[in-house]
Amino acid sequence: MLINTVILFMHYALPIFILLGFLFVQVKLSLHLQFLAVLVGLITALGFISQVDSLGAWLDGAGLEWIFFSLHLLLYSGVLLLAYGLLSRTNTGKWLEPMRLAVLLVVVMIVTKGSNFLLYFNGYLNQVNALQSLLVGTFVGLGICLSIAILLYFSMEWLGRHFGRIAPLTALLVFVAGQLANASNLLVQVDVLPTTSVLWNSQWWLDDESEYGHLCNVLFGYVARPTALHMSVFIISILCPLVIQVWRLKRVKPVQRGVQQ
Amino acid sequence: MARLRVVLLLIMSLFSSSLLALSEFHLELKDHLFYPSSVTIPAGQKVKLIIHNLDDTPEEFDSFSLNREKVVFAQSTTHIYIGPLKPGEYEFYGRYNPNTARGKVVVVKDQGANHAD
Repeated sequence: MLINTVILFMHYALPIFILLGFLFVQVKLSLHLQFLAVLVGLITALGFISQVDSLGAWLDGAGLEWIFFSLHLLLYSGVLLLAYGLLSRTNTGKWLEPMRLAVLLVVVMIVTKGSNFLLYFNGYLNQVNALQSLLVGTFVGLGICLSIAILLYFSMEWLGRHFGRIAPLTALLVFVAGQLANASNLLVQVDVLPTTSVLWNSQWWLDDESEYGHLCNVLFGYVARPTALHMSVFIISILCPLVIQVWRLKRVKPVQRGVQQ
Repeated sequence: MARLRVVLLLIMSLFSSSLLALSEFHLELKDHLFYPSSVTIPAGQKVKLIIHNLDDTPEEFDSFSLNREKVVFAQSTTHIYIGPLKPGEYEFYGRYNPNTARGKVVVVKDQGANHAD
């Protein structure tokens, strides 16, 4: 149970820590705000799992899939708004303030990923001798996730120093696009979206179940057998905002030139 | 009148194809074990997999090869759709008890595939 708890904690908590690593590079969240975001996220996740049984029965048993997909969509939209707020030189308004958006993103990510781990923790807490394994496993998993997040933070800071703010923001976009592509599969399993063909099988190169496979899945939604839908969601989610940004820059430059003349 | 009949038949055939019930396959979880541990389904068809959790603890049905993950709450039933799949073996496991809760979906070409070991 100890090793399984470590693996489960990493599976569910690593995306939260990765997001925190990305956000700290972009937005300097104070300790007070970090604590507030995690606390609100945990309370919301606890409230969510207390109702999860009835929520899961919604829409002919597809309730949780719809909720988790919507939360991933909210996460993706939040990152786009954050990028817009950070790159825009004009005042973006109170609700597009990067600090507020960062807190919202952390809360949504904790509810999306943390609720699954809380469900496991809650379900197995009453088993004989489980508490010690659950707690030790959680702390070991916490240490691993924290180490990866710190490593990511310094990597992104280096990337930002050498290639400008757009580089870590693009990495963040790839991360949430991968999460959204993974979530699209939830709607396939409840028959909302159609099953599409598998494009390739790279299991021989990087196994889904391996540690690196798992890390790549969290970082950019790697799956060994991606479907056409998975890849479409991933590519469109990355390309759309990048194309809009390039178009915006092209539109702004002639206007600025006109003003200077 | 003949035209009307043809149109009605076409509409009826469209509805009947959309309302065609998918084949259903059942899995039970008891003492953190899947029963049956192997489910045989036909190739090239979408099927409904109904999972009954008889344990007092939740479990997550997980499969990398099937691209599926679904939490099954304690003492409850849920379902997922799998396929259409190519012939072969697709492993699945319970994420909360991966050492014991293991099984596979065997996809075969022939039509008499609705049996389990």
